[in-house]
Amino acid sequence: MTLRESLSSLLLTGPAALALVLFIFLPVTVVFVLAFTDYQIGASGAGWVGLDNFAQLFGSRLGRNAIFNTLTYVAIVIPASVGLGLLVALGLHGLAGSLPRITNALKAVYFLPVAATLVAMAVSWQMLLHPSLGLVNTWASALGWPAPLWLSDRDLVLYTLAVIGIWQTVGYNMVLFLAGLAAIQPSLYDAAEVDGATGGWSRFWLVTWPMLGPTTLFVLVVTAANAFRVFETVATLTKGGPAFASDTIVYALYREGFVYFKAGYASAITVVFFLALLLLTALQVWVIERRVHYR
Amino acid sequence: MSDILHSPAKGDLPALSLCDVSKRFGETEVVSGFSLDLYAGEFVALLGASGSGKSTTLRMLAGLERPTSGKVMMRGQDVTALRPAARNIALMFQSYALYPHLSVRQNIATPLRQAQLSAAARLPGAGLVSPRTRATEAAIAGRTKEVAEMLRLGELLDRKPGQLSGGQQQRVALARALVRDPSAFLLDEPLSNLDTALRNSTREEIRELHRSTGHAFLLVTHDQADALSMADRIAVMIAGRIAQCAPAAEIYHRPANRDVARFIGAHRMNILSPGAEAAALHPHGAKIEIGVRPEALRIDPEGALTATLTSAAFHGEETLLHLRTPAGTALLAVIDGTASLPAKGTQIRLGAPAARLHGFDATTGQRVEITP
Repeated sequence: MTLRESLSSLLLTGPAALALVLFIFLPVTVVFVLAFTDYQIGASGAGWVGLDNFAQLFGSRLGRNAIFNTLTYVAIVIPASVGLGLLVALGLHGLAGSLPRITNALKAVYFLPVAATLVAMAVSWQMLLHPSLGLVNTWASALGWPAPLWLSDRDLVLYTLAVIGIWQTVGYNMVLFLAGLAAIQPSLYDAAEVDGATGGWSRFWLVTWPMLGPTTLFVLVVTAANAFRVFETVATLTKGGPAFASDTIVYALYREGFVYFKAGYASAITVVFFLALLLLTALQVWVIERRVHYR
Repeated sequence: MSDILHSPAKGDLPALSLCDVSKRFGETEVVSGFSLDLYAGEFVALLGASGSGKSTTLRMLAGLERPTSGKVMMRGQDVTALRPAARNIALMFQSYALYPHLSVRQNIATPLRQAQLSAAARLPGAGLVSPRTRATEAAIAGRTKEVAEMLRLGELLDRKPGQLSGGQQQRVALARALVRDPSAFLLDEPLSNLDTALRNSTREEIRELHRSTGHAFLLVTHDQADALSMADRIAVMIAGRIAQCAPAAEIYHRPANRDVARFIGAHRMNILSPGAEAAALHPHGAKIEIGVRPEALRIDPEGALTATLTSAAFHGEETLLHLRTPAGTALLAVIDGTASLPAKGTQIRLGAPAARLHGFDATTGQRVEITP
């Protein structure tokens, strides 16, 4: 490569690289350092506290509660939204040939929650789930069923949020799965038919599921990353309540950092969260990648 | 139809046959009134240009497509409503359609596993629980190995299709089709994804496979070289119908109609409309069309036909001459590459042996016998 070419390459990558260093890498480094201090936003100095912040997160009842809540939420949302996304995609893919208009309308309906602003949608959910005036409980009592306190019952609130989380991600997963389904060679289904895989179930195991491997991996990674970051619904609907029953890691991070200004502690949470997510994604890619691309 | 005349085993019921089958997609009729018998041990080629309906015919034979009308029969039994697996027909796909996530061994074993093991028994580790499943698995493994060795795939059994060359993938597709001893073997453009050198050896290999297995083979192709070199009998398909079904030599030397005559042969047959020029070649030419293959036309000072040379193209062993008659008919002649060429624009006289002239009815296009 000539000097001239090197210079123009540098000129092209330079600004973006500089911005990346200034606005991503530098702040991340600062956060990593702050995680070991008791710095408070606005304070003139900070003391080195070592691993105290981490001990507080994993040792305190509140810290462990946030971690446990997040894991519960994730354990519900990932399988449900990936599974439902796949089911809806399979249904719509099968329907597309015979009822194209209805299929397109349904696709739009399923995708609507993805396109809509979650904060605005949260307001609608709040109205729907209102204990006495909400549509859900009005119908429930009309049918003679109990009318639970969806967002203020400590045993229920996390599951309510999980359902909203699923509702929000199914459409996105559906679109990804639909693209994956459309990319499967029709001749593979013909081959399966000739080879005797005539039932829907054996066709699915012989062709559809293995061919969707790369799509499923991507959907899993994206869904997991989104589920771990659950924040908007918590912030707008419950504020982590009642009595921290819906407190999640990212909401705790927000509360400690931006409400109580405990920047050191918030940074420690961020570091843990970041490392956990990095580890999870690397694990998924490392474990599954070799098994989905068939090379 | 001449099918029955050329069947190797007269009186036997055909292994597979289509009886007056039609298929329409919406308003368009892709296959119309199609009948074809395929006997055990026979190698038939279904030859047609793309869009002639040959793939649809193949899919109806295999059971992947239901005919709009007509019947599919196997040994005298109506199988029109049966699914592909129940017909026990093997099909080799043009794209090979191998399962990319399965090893060569698993790909070949798939038809047997689907037929002989229940869904539960196909689960990994099922053999550990049930001795019967274990026995079936062992039998399948033995058969898989046998077929793989026959197709020289013994070394590749644990590879994935993505790690194989095109020729190897093709052999895996053949093995998967052959593994369950099918009652008929359908090949959809088996050579179209191979390079020229491999095509010739693969043609031989498929011929050999046909000889050694004795199955009824049906080859679907758009390439007449494939059809002429492999098949005992060729069914020429034009616009959804069988235009002629006969051995290769007969198709070439006695085409049943104008369309077949034009379709078969390395170069398109010259057709002279009824008139003085056609009559110069053959006395019947006054009333019917006279066809002559470019390779049958020769430069002959005594020749009956006069034409002007418009261009000549040297192709090594042969030279293509583009000519125009005084009446404006464009002619093509193929002469030996070593022959000296007349200059462009000169008038030359052409002749052809009477035995190599073909007569066609000017309105129906059907063959009229004119040779003595």
